[in-house]
Order: sequence, then C-alpha cells, then structure tokens
Amino acid sequence: MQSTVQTTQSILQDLPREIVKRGLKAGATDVMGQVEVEKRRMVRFSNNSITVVKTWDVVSPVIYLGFGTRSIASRLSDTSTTTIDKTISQMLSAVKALPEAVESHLSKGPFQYKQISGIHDSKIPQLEGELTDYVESAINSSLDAGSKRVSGVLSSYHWRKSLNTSTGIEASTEQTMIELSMRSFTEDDASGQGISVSTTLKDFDPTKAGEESGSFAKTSLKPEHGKEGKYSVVFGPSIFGNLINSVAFSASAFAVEAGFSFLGDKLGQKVASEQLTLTDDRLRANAPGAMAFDDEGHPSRVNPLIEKGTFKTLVHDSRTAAKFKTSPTGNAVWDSDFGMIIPTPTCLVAEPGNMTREELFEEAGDGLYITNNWYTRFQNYQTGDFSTIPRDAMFLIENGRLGRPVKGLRVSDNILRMLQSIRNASKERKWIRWWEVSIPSYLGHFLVDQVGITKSTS
Amino acid sequence: MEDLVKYAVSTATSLGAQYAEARFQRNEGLRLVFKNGVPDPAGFVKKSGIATRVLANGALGFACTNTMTRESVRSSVESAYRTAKMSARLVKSPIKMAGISNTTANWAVKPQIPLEDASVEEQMEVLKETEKAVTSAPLNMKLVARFFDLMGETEEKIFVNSEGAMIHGTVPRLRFFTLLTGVSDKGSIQRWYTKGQSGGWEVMKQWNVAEATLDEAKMMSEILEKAEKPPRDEVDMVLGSEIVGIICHESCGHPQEADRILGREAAQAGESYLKPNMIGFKVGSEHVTVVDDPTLPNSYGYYDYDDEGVKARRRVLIDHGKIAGFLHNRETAAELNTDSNASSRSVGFDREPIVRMANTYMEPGDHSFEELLEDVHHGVFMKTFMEWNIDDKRYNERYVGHEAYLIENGEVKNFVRNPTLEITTPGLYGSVDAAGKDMMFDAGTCGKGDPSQGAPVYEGGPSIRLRRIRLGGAA
Repeated sequence: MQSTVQTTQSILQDLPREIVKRGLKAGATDVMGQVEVEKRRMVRFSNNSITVVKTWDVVSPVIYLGFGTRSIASRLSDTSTTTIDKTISQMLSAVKALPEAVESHLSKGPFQYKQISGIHDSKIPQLEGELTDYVESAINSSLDAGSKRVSGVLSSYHWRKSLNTSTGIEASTEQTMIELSMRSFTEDDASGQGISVSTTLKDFDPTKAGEESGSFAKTSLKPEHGKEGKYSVVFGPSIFGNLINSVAFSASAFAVEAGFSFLGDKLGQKVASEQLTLTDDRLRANAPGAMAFDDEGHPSRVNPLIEKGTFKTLVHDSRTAAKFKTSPTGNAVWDSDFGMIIPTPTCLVAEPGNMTREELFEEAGDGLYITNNWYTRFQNYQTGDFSTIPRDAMFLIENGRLGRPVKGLRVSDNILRMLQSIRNASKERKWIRWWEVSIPSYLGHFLVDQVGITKSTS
Repeated sequence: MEDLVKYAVSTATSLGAQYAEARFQRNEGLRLVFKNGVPDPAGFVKKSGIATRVLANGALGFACTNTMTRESVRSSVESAYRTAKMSARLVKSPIKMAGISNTTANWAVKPQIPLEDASVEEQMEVLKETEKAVTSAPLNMKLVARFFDLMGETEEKIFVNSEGAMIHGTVPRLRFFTLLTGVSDKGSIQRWYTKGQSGGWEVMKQWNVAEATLDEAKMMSEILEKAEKPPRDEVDMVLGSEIVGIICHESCGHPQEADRILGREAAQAGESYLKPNMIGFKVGSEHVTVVDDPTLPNSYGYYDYDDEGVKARRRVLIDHGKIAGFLHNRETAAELNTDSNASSRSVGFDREPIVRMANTYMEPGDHSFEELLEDVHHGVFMKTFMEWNIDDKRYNERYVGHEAYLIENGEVKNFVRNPTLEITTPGLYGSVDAAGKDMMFDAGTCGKGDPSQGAPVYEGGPSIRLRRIRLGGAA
C-alpha cells in the first residue's frame, strides 16, 4: 500500500486490513483497524437568514491494540502508512507503561450482520443547493404559523465505515441522516422548537418542523412568571429525550464504573414505573443511530434497557464485559468526549402509552406542559439529584386543558424518583435528535407526577 | 504545510471570494484514563487538517478536509465557495468582516519540559500515586469510584488570509479531570474538579495532583459526615473563587458574546438577556468588575492571536457594575459597527471559528477573607460547587454548593449540605457588597457551537460577599 495518493474506496477497503497486519507484526494479540469517512453539510440560520454553510470531508482511522491484560486505542487524521506505523510504535511504548487490567479479547469472527433497511439514502450525499431550499421552506412555514424570526441548523450526513480485526471480523456500512432542529420566536420570551430527523429523504419534513416550531412560538406569546412547587408535568419528546439520554448513559458499564451512573447497583431492580420500557434498538429499520455492528465489530442487538420499569441491561464492550464476567452487548462506540471506545447505547426507543397528548393533559388535571429544555446537570450522578432548565414553549395545564404560557422555571428533582412517577405516555412518537439530545431517541410525551419545580429569587 | 494553506487562500480568491482565510490546525496528544486503579484504553489523539472560510456574494462558507493534498484542499475550498454562493439568496444582510487582519507573526507557549519528553511511565505514575493517596487515606466513607483523566495536547495553527495575514501559533496544554464518588451510611457524595494550564509537563509538577485529590476526598468525607441542612431564611453569603469563576463565565462572559446577542446561536447555545444597545446598563454593584483576558501567562485559555488573525487583548466586560463591552469576532464587530477584540476561536481544524471567552474573572477587591466575614451575623460561606446551570438567555442561574459552611457572627462554623443559590443575574451581581483580595483560577471546558466545541478556558475571581440572599430559590 502506498503512503501517498489513496482513493476513498481504497482507504476503506485496505487501511483496516493494513492496520491489523501492522498491529499483529508489532506483537499485539488483538488488533482492530477501522476507518470512517464522513461527508457532511450543515446550513445554519438565524433571524430568517443563513449565517454559514459548512462542509466536512474527513477521514478518521482508529487503531486498537490489545495485549490480553493491556490495551490502547488511538484515533488519527492521517491515513498514510508512515503515520500508522509511527502511531503503532508510540502505542507499543505507551501500553507497556500501563498497569494490567482484566484480560479481555475482541470477539471472534466472522459474523453475519443483519441488513438494516432504510439507513442509507443515496440522494442525501448529493444534496447541496437543496439544503437551502429546505431551510427556506422551514422558515416560511414557521412564519406562516405565526412566528416572527427563525433560527436553526440543517445537517446532512453521509458516513462510510469499515473495520477489520485480528479475530476474523470484517464489517462495513454506509449510512445517511438528515436532521433539522429549529427555534422560532414571536418575542424574546416566546419561542418554540421543531425537529425533523430521518435516515432518508422521504421521511424528512422541514415544513412540518417549521409549523410546529412557529405554532409553539405563537401560542407561548406573553408568558407569565411561573410558580415553584410540585407539579404533574407532561414532558414533550425533546425534554424527555434529553432525560432518557441520561438514563441510557447511566446504563453503560463504563458510566457505572466511573461514577457517572444512577443505575449502577440496580440491575434487575425496579427503577421506573411500569409505564417505561426503553430499548436500545441498534437494529431498527429506518432508525438514526442504528448500525449492524459496533466499533469492535461485534454484532449489534436489541438491548432492553428498562422493561416495564425494571432495569434489564447494562451495556458492554469487550473490556467491560470481561470485567463484569459477561458478554459484550454490541455497544462499543468511539466516544470523542472521552477519546476512547466505551460502551454506550446509540438508538433509543421508548414504548408508546395509550393516550393522546390532550388525554395526558386531561389526566394531569392541573400541571405543567414543558416542551424543551437545556443544561441538565447533576449534583450527584450516583443518586440522580439534578436540575434542568425548560426552554421554549411552556404552559400551565388547567382543568385538564392546555392553559396559559409560563416562563422562568427549573426542574429540580431526582431522576429516579421521576422515572418511578411516570403515569402514562402518549401513543404518538417521533424521532428526536438535536444539540441537547445526542443519542437519537424515538419517543412521545410522558406524564410524570409530583415533579419538583423551582425558580430564581429576583 | 504553509504552502498548502496559502494555496487554499489563493484558490478561494481565484474563484472570486470577497474574503478568504485558511487555517491548518493540528491537535495532537496523549490521553490516559484511569478508573478505580485500572487503565482504560485511551491513547493518542492526532487530529489535523485544513479549514477554509470564504465570503462569496455576502454569504459565508466553511469547509474542512484532513486529506493533505492539493486536490483535496482545492475540492474543499471549491465546496466552501460554491455552497456559500448557493445560500446567498437567503442571506438577508451581506456578511462582512470588520477592519483589516494583515499581521505576520509567529508565537508559541514555550514549555520548560515538552509534553513529549514526559514518558508514559512518568505520566502514569502521577495517576497511580493519586489512586494510592486516595485509597490509602483513612476516610469516614468508602471511595467507591475514582475516575482520573489526564490529557497532554499540543495545538498548532497556521493562519493565512486574503488580506495578507500569516500567523503561526503553538500552545501545549495539560489537563487533569477527576470524579470521585464516596459512600457511607450517611449517604453518597461526589466531587469533580479540573486542573488545566498552557505549558509543558512542568505544570504537573506544580499541581501536585495526588495531594490535591486527597484533600478533595478528605473534604468529601467531612461533608458527608458532618453537614447539616442549610438555612432557608434570608442570609448573607460569602462565595469562594471557584463559584465566582463559574458565575463570571456563565452569567457575564456568555451573555456578552456578541454572536449570542445577535441571535446567531439562538437554536443551540441560546441568546442573551442583553441587547446591542445595552452598553452602560447597570447590572451589578460598583464592586463588580469582570474581565476576559486571553493574554494571562500560562492560563488554560491563553493565545496571542485569535483565529481571524487579530491580536489578543484584555477585554473589560462589566466595569464597576455596568456593562462595558461585548466579545467580538470580525463578523459581529462589523454588524455592530465596532472592532473585533480577538474573541474568535476554533478548537479543531473541523470547527468554524466563533466568538469565545478565554480567561474570564472578577477583579479582586480590598477585603481580606476575615473582613468579608466579620460583619456577617447569619450567613453561608459556599466555597465550591457541583451542580449548576443557567437559562439560555443567561438570566436565571443556579449553583448548588459542595463545600459550604454556616457563618455565625463573623465566624465560619458547621458544614451545610448542598445550599442552593438560585437567582437572577442582576439579582446576583446587585447583591455583591465586597470583593476579597484573594484571587484564584480554575480550568474549564466551555461548550458552544454546532457541532459543539469544547474550548479551554479559565474562570476565576476573588471571594465575594452577597447580602440578603434566600437560599433554595424563591420561597
């Protein structure tokens, strides 16, 4: 293999194999070579005007070397064999300095991976000027719904990934996604969010996202200052998606060991009401976040995280599985924040309830409807004490109906207590993914009792 | 590499770009993660590539590639130019860059001990010593989880633009993060903290991480054992530097980022309670002066030139209680008819430069710590925090104390558990009636942008005193 000009196709085909060959030659017992090629476009807009269009054309090789009780991984930008060799040499020196951990090995392949339908649309990588058209139709539909100014981000993704291991695994995938997250305003304190996320163009609906966003902005006009207290709260899919992202990360063996989990010692225990069934469905058709294999080449599977309120699955990669004396769950994922492969769910699906959103309002009687949030922070990850800040449209629920818009409140509670107080969920669900919901989540509205709500002193 | 960066700019101008800039950025380092005495498989992160920004027909295009060939760079630049032009019909007001950026400079933070000279054994030894220190100490709790994350990284940038700027900058940085979890029959307690500086391995020798982490573990144990419920009636408060730093970052630095004020971050990180015409608005007492300064030597947010080639400088954000200025890049400065104050930063070749803080802090006052306490008859001293958040206009904020004490008649007394300061920004700054002479900085990673960019920053200040505060938010 030459270290100079390489085509994308040859990088995807040959580089993982080269990494494995070189890693084995260097003495590693378990080697994984991976390459991800990402082409991505993003149109950002604010005040009804496009602020920037961005394009990414990025190739990222990953090298994993295992030596039984020691392992190390690195992510690079350079695909040249010179750099690969130099990095492997550096990794060899580094790994010798590491203390021993529990012996672990990559899964033995080859595997037959499930073909997941609807996760690639060949039209999405071709989008360029059309992205501006989508933004225009989203802005216009929001303005038509009554908003005055609109901001947001539209992104199209095209990933190709291939992976080889020294244990006989060969895997490759090509996936696409398009997502729009927007926020419309009628005044500074009256705003609404709209989201459309899909792996294919046919299910992408910027107009509907615009209508939703604009409609929330209009109906939340002139909000009153809300009052602190305990409320029955109907959470919209965006805010509940943010909360179940925390639940999902808590279900990672990595998070449990590091202290980032409130589910650590609760496997098999009731952690939520029977109304919550949450699955990491990495094999789901047409699902953002679905993938047939994980970043160790292990086949993905459908992992029930919480089943009718009971915590069922702690997700693992090969190392945490060895440590916990169990099997990998197909959740090894390169995590840029931690700079390594960790086990984490990637495709969350919450089972629907049996009510419409309006029936949830009726069920709540008097309470709050919170559509969106940001800035979730934990006082203690282990106990689940946290707070988060509603943003965009928020309303009182009065006599079982949507009431006056309110502002200035904060959810200050314990997440386990909240999960145990889920009374019902809506029948209708939608895909959520945006700045504050990084793991794609398919869910509806949730009614939770006795939620702690606080507010600032002046 | 310089030639390739220049090639990107010349390609853009030859295509017809009104303005073009290209930045080669390399972020390279070693990350070691140690969890409960066992290493995780982190390793080397080597990220590099070229980013180009162009103005075409008044629209802004950004493109990046990490394939370092002329063909790939040309294709990337063409993409930035083409997509900018395509979007121009939806750009309401042409985007402009304020002033001229045509400086030639070469700057570097020179480490005493280059990061690459610190062997992995030596780095690992720090984590082992820290683990040993906290696990062998007699504590009134079991330290059930210890998470240590050590990252040494060198960032190199070569910036060229179509106005003649050519700037080469290099900064090594070291960062240590820990999360500790303690459990006893009294319950559970957690503490995270971050240390970060620009410089080489010598920084680690100054930090004494093992001792600092042991001190944190001992404090957790004391709090868990002894802390009582905080008062709910009206109290005076003394806040420690750590909390003053996060306050300055969240409720001064962020709302005074001009891109937020103009709405550019509305759908993600949010907007601001401030408007462009609010320079001079009284937000706090005369004791409150907040500054952002990227030029603090060895600081975590240090830089000499920003990512638009503008010379770094000290910026006064609040001057004796009044809004004194905003953080600008060249784009926001043009829109508000002023000059950039060098706030444009990008954390990687694959990220757009946007308005960022660097090192944000409150200026010290003239009180000793004892003087801050002496006429507080009934109060709370909140020294450190765990949970915090603030709304996306940066108006309603909350800080939940970690190490906190009751103050009675001018003396620090018993621990109090998780006192909650939930207050508005003017309410907080308006309550400050004295600032201490002490001064301390903490390192942080500031999140903003889409895709998100975690920027290294300092947050700091003196201890301050607040009058007539009701803990736990509105009663």
